[in-house]
Amino acid sequence: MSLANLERTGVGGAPLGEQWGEQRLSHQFEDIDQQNECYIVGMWSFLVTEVMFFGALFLAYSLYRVLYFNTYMEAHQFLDIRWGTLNTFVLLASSLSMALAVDAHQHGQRKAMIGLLSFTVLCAFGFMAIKTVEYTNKINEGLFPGGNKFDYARALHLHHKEAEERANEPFAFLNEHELPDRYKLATRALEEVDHEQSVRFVGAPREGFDTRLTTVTPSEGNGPALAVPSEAANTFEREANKARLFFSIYFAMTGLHGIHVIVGIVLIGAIIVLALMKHRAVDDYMPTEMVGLYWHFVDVVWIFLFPLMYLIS
Amino acid sequence: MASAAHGHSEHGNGLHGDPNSPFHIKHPPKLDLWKNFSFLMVMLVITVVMYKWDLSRATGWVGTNVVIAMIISAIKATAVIWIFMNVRNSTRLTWLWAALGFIWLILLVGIFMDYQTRAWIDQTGWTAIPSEYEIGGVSSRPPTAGK
Repeated sequence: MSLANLERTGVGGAPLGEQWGEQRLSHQFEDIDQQNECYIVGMWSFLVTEVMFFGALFLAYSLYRVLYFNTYMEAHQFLDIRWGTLNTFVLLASSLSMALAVDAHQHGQRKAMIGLLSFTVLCAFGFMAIKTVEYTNKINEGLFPGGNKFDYARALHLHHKEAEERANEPFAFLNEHELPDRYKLATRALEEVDHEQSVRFVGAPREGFDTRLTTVTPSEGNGPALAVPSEAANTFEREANKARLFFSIYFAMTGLHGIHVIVGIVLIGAIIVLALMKHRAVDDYMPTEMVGLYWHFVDVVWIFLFPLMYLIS
Repeated sequence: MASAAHGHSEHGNGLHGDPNSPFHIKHPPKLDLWKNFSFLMVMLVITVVMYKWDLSRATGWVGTNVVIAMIISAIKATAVIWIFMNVRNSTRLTWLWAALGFIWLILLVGIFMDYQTRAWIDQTGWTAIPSEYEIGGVSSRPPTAGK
């Protein structure tokens, strides 16, 4: 017996099976079925924590949707259903190829498994590419809710679409178009917005007067004149803040989902590399099955995200 | 009982395990996976069609389409979990773990239904004023100084 043979033996010195994909029993388990069950329950434990993670975000979204329904109806029109549907299709296809890859591994078909996993990674990259296009459009239109960049008025002004289309083409923000009548909530405030009205104050303003929304200017007569924002501008500000909430949750949820997709790409890539190297870690089909469970769960999250965010009617 | 020499076929080692064991996990055939995928594609088409087809006018309730969309999503998710994730052939312990997460979710949503019983306060310190834009008819104004 040569040294090379000594390397590739099973636990306790028993010879390995000849087929690739054959499982090895670890010494703490009674039999292979118990070992498999243990791996799967372990993975599901992690997936339960993921359900809790996304569930809380879904709840926050649902609460705001019920309370600010009108704003959400308006704001969701910035999301393109075509991209969302394509994303859903891509993820479902990747789920199928992942399941087929696990099946191939169980039957010892190494090349088929590597090919199917590569297709899964390709779909995942496609998903991220579509996400990048969507995000780029949103950020350039001023819909990213971070810092001072959120500009709802500009986004409404740039969106010019006909009844059923959405202005989510690349570089749409470069086109100037008229505001359609559909955006009734905000246009009511936007049309002839009088950002300031002058109000005369008799006497001096009280100590600690809130100057965030007003400017105090000296005036002749009975005291300083104060400019306060008009009711229309106030209304629009409130609507813009609620739309900002919508986009906060949109970017948070789809962004976190995107991070999960990237982690999935790394995991599947690792399995592909190990399989190409014929590494003994993927002699057992269980690692592939567990990564498959993770990937299907990422798909399930998107299945719920898509109608909630994109298909509000 | 665990013995020193593992890897013997009596212990169920090998490619397929012991089919008679209560813990044995069968794997779905490829055809089932393709059928499931076709079903999911059909459900995706239905999802998009239901979005275009506004049912709230028919039932008179604004939330009709949301409920239907969520039911369709639940069906799709069940299909993925049952077939693709092989919960169909898994042990009862796996079923329990899979169900637990969603039971927790139902509890969470149920507990937070109490938001329906309270007035919504937009932001801390802001006062409620009547508004035509909110569902409850209540909006808010910023805090006045000297409060």
